[in-house]
Amino acid sequence: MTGLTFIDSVGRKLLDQLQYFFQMLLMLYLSVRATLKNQSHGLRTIFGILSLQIFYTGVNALPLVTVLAMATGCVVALQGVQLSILGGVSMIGQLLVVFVVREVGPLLTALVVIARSGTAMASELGNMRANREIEALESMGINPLSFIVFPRLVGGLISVLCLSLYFIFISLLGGFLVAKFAHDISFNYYMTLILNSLTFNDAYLFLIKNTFGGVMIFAISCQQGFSVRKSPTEVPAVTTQAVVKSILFVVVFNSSVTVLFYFKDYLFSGLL
Amino acid sequence: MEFKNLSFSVADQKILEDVTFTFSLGRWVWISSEGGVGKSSLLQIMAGLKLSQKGSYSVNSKNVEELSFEEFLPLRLQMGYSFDLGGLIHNRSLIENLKLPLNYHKKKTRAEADLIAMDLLRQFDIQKYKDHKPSDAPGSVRKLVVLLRSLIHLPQILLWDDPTMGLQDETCQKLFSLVKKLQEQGAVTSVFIASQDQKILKHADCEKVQLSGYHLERLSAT
Repeated sequence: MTGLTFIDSVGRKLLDQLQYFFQMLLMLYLSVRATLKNQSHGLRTIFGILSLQIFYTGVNALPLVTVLAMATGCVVALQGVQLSILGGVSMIGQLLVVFVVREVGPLLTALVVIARSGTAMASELGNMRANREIEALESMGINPLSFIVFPRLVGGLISVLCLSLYFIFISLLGGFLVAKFAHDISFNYYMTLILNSLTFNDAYLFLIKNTFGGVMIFAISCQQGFSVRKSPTEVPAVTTQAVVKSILFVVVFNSSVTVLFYFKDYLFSGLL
Repeated sequence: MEFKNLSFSVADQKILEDVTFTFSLGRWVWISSEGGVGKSSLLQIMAGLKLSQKGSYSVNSKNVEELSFEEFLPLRLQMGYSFDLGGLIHNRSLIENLKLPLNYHKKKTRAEADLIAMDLLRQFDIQKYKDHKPSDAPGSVRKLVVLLRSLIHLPQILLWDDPTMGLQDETCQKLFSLVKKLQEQGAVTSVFIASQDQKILKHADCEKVQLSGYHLERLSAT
């Protein structure tokens, strides 16, 4: 009986999560549809909001991402220097690409964006809901999905992709500083190591993780913000939920992509 | 504007029950009731911001509840709705809030919209607050901007929720005179005001509709 209750509870939670996921997909679809249908209306206003979103999410996050990326690059390269006793200096390039480009870059960028912009967006939209700004937009014939959701989603996605690329660039720079200090490696040799380690698969992984991660962070934040009914006292709770749900989604999604990626490699190489 | 067997409730609170009612157009209508009975919700249903649970609401014989956002848009642009509290976009200045309907729907060029908005602000002597964010402006100015925003695009129908709340008599007088002037120019034809404030009658000749016992009743023409 206990076992059945447990299965029942897990099933319900799974169904709730699926329902939530499909609600978000519906919101994404409707926001794109509303924007395409409203092409004659306020595209200039929408682009204004989009560029502001890129500024707040992307440009303003650069100092924090720089520090994190530099530290990550240095630490991974230091580990590589230790391991290079076993495999030679060339391991540093592979290590940096595998850790930074494939895994840590997208994950840490997503966490920074969730912490800075996901929370800000969920609380902003929650307060807008409580202050009847969403209703005010509707009363003026402005669809909140094209005016609020679409520019934030697109601006957020562009920011995540650019920030992640920036993170990788700075990390590799940090890695070079350590490699130069420890092994006196020249910049050309270091770049050769990195470029030899990069493959198309790294680009696919980068794009898949950052694109889906970016979209989901902002979709979850918008969805949570819109879930406020009346009172500003609901805002802190929905903001916390936005953070928790975004982190869970990004971690589960990134891990699943990595597992599937290696599973595919093992499958094609005949190891499975 | 017609309700047919319309029922509406918020959470457990019943607001309207099986109401069939036709609102008179082409005049001022004062919707009154006791406090907390649901005047604001009624006005929101009329503006298409809330959907009823049962029955239908039609404007020009079109069932509003069956229309998508885009299908309702032409009707919505003929309406101007003003909130009792809140409703200004917090991250835009007061003048940007005021111009938003004109700019978004490209009803005027940006320069024309600037002129119209500034002229309205000047008429009420609040032009010094034009670049203030709503949170930095006095409550009466915020209220006035929401009211002015509802009529800046010259709608046919005005739906005002408690328009006199927080405004001085003199300002109310100016506001009602402005609406009358617009009516003379053929811009605004119908004005629906939900309020408990008896002073409304001082400013305009209204038909009175009472909301009580979950029903609407036409009381008198003053």
